[in-house]
Amino acid sequence: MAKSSKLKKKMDAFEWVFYSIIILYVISLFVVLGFGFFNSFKDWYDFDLGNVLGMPREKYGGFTLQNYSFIITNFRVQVKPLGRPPRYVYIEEMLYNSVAFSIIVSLFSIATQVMVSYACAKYEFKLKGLIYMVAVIVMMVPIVGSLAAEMQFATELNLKNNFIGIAIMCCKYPGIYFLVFYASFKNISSTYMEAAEIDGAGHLKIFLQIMLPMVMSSISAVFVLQFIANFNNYQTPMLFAPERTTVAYGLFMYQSSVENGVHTTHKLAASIATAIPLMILFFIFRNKIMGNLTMGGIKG
Amino acid sequence: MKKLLSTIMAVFMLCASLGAMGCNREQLEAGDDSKSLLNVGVFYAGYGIEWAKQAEHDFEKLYEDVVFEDGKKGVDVIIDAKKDEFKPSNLLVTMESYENAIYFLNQNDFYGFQRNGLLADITDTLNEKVYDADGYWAAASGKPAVSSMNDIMYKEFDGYYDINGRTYAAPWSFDCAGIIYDADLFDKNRYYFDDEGEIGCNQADIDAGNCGTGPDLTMGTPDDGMPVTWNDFVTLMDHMKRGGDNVTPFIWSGGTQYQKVRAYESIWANYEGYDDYMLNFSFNGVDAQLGQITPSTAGKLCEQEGIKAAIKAAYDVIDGGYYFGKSFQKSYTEAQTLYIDKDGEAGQVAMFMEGGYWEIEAIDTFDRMGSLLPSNGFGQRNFKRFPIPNFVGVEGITDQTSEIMEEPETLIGHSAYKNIALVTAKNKAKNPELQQRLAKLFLQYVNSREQLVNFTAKTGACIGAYHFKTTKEERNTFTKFGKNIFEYIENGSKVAIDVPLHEFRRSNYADWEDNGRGYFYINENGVGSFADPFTFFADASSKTVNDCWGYMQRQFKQLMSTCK
Amino acid sequence: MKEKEQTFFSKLFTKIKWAMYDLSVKLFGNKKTKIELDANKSRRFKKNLFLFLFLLFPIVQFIIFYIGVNINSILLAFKSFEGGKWVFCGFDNFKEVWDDLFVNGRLNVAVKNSTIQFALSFLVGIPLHVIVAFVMFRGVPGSKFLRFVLFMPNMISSLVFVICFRYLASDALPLITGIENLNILKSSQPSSFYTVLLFGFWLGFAGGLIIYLGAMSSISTDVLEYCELENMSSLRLLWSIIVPLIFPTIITYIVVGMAGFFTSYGQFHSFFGAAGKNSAPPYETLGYVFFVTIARDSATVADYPYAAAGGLMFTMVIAPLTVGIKSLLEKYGPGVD
Repeated sequence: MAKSSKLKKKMDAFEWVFYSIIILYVISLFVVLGFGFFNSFKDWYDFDLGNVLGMPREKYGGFTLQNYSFIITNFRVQVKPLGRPPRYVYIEEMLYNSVAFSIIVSLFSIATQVMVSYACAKYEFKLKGLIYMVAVIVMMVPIVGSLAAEMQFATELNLKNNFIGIAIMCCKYPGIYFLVFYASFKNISSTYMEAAEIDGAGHLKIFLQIMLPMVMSSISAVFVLQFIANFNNYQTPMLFAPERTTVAYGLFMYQSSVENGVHTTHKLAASIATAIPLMILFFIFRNKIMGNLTMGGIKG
Repeated sequence: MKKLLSTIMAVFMLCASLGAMGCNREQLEAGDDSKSLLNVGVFYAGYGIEWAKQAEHDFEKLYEDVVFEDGKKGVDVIIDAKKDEFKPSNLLVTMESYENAIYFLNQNDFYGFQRNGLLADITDTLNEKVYDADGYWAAASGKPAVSSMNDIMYKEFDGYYDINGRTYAAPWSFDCAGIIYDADLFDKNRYYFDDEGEIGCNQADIDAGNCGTGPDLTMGTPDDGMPVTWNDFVTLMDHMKRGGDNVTPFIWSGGTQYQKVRAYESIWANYEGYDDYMLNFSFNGVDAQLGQITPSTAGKLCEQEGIKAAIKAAYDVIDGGYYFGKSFQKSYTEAQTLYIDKDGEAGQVAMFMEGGYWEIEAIDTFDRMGSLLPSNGFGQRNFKRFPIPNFVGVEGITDQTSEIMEEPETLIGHSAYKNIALVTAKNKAKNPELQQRLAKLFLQYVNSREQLVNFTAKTGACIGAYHFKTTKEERNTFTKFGKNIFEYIENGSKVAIDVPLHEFRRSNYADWEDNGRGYFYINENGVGSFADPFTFFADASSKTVNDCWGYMQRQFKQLMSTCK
Repeated sequence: MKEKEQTFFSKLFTKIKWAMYDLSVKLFGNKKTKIELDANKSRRFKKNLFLFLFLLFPIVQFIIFYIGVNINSILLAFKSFEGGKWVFCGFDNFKEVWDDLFVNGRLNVAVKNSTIQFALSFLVGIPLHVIVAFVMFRGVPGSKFLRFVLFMPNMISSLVFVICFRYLASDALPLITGIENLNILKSSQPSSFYTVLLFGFWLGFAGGLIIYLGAMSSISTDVLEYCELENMSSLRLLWSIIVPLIFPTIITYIVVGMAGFFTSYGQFHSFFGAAGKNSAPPYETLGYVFFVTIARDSATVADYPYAAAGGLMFTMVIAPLTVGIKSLLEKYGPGVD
């Protein structure tokens, strides 16, 4: 960004038009989220009476945190474990499930990609060409509609409602980050490896103590991105782990809740509350996320 | 990495603290060890559980000195109120794992429960004479017991829960649904009709008898002063909309269709009259216009003119814009709030389409309003059931016959077939044999007159599936809306309760539920899917009443094509 | 005795060791094996053993959960679930999908919607993303802040936006526009399709933007300096320099997006959940139909073959098409002179 702005002279009409699109877009993001945020501090009764755009009315309690206290006790999703009585999953369990799901699935996925990319980048062996080619083909040639077969596998191998099982199912090595890690390992000079080998270090030791730390910055950046993507993914938990409700799946269910006493402001509060952990994560890791990465991979 | 780990730790700590903050959720009532226990499962939905709590209190008091088992005196009733957990699909699997010995459910899978061996034989319970001549609990009144549950049960339920001559469940209740009007608003704005068919009377005029007869053409009945014909009603709606009072005639829930379907059914039933309308449940008998109806010809019931009249009513309401425009976007709770509180965005609304339990369902709103002004609290506002006007001189609709017009209003009794009471054969109760005995006693007790009165008082216009009389004092315990419903019943109104009398209807009950083809359903390419005629005309504004009726008939006849 | 035992076990161990080694060599054998065997045997053994163990899990995982799953998907497409058992049913499932697509018109709405969705994302989405990214890349006032904000849709769950937008549309929009009965999300109306389509486009806007912004940021400063000296207009700079330079990224985006015609269900599921069987809602796309066939609550294994057959048919179309288009774009795409 810095280098381009140096070259910048003056914005012409063409740029102004599209600049205004960006500004409008940013405003629209704030409008949508702001609407939810603002109304989540309104009493449900005030909102239901049609005070959608106005300030919270004092008559009905003004600005209130009541919606947030309500969701601690009432943001819940019913799960029906097979052969056992149904039970409710509340917000803390959802949060726990989300964190566990996101960590496990991200770790497995990154681990397989790192392992295969390291082997392909740093070793010569017969299957290397094939492994790399398969990765490229799988990414390039789409196979659609295998969800049914995946569901059947998950059921028959008893992987459902088990985060490790789901992680094993989802961690195939071909993927954009395989190429990212491959490039990262390729860029590391082999002299480090050779020197370590001469010093008597084993292959695993070289990998764990020398090579891995050198790409750790990329790995942790990818981990944060994967973590966020998995945290926000409601469909995989919906299909494969309905009994271990995550926050995203819980929110999906809660938005259509018709339970007595659940009102729009409660749903808005639930959605804002669940966005907060990720916003905190984003603030903490903003440099890592925005500095090292674009959404497609690591900058060159 | 340290940062990452500490963030994750922080999230886990947050989980733990949230869990601690929410630790008082769903606490169950602890049993009193000095008393015999009775665990009662209640479906926690629109009816609420206030009625059950009152029954619990009364039952415990009545038997506080009675010894049912050694070393214990009295009964401790524990109410276990749940919604999703007590859906039949769950209970089929889980009933055995609960301690409850008796259930009151708003959803029903009688054959499923029976197949799984979950139901106790209650034949003797239903036949035992436990009520005195006035229907009160004989053991409490001290008068002779002369009638049993079977004696006072609505006749539609005769044998309904029998298998091989033994009874395994009992009907519980229904709710009188349809159109509600705000009588205070009618009074204040003088929306009642005089005897010359002009708008302009208030409640004082009605009390003095200076008003129109209402649709039953008889003075001194609950519908006095209300519009006699549908055309009068359209005039009234127009008057509300344009008359300077700034009143919106109708509001309804858009999120769910069934409330609008109940209004549609009310119009249909009142056009046809009780007997012809009930053919839709029995598929057997003679229809005044269509002639002999048998199960194999029941498909032509969709040609009943009452259906067309109800569709025409929906057309007029939508076409005239006599409704709050955002109704279709409102959930039922939002619609309830906007109907009750005129400070809402809908302003003053005269009429509402809902189920008979709507007041108890909207109790949060009533409590809110009551906290500001007690006369706005639960049961204090003067809501009444809207009597259906006669279709005479209405364009495109054959005139109603005078016999039907003079009949008292036909009330719609809804969800009767879904509301079931059952004593369990399998449970985890601590003392199952005694609990079953107490459960049977409790079942009989809740259908005594005092508890039937309590049930209606606590649920608005929900009524036990057993006949009972009410004194004025008893009616005074009801909400004003509930009281109004009983005035109709006292005045001779019949309640068309929705018991699927014919086996085809019973085995295809889902087709007579929300989005089912039995009452109203349209699914046409290029037109769309609709489960009520109001939404249909709002979306397909170019369509006519006959288009709508035709589409609806196609679905119904398809459904009925396999009925034998 | 002890000595004997040790000898026996050490012999056995040695045998196992060499058997493993042979297997490793066969699988991962070094092509350059001209170095003296005796001296390097142990090193190579260790290396091959390491590679074998290192790659064992990823490869077995891939074989089971990618190759196995896809083979199972093919098999499923030829089976049906009748009376609690799987039976071979030939091409019945394919015929059913074919009929729905071309004979009885059940999927007409889905095909039409998928086409519109695809056109929006390709014909409007890609050019818009590239141009807006270019403007950002050239430097605009407040670009640091804008970049930060543009990351938000990628950080926050789409469901948060879905819920906020849902009530904004249903409760606030009628007030803002003054049209009381405005309901742009009414699921029985075709407007629901366009509303949610544009919502998805809006939500995905930032993601698309960031991809091209990333690609542009790796363009050499020298090239840009030269363009400044030439006093090129923004439009010419974009068309003649930037687009050709980031064309590989555009190709990747197109290639990845091609299958979306058959698989994308945008935010329709987030808004409306899984529609009932045979209900044909006006917002359905092909991706939505085949997703909810499996994802709806009432779905059973008996529904799987239809989805598998559909997937296989679509793959037969989209896989060669994707490869073809990729090579065409690479061959005839723009270049920088």
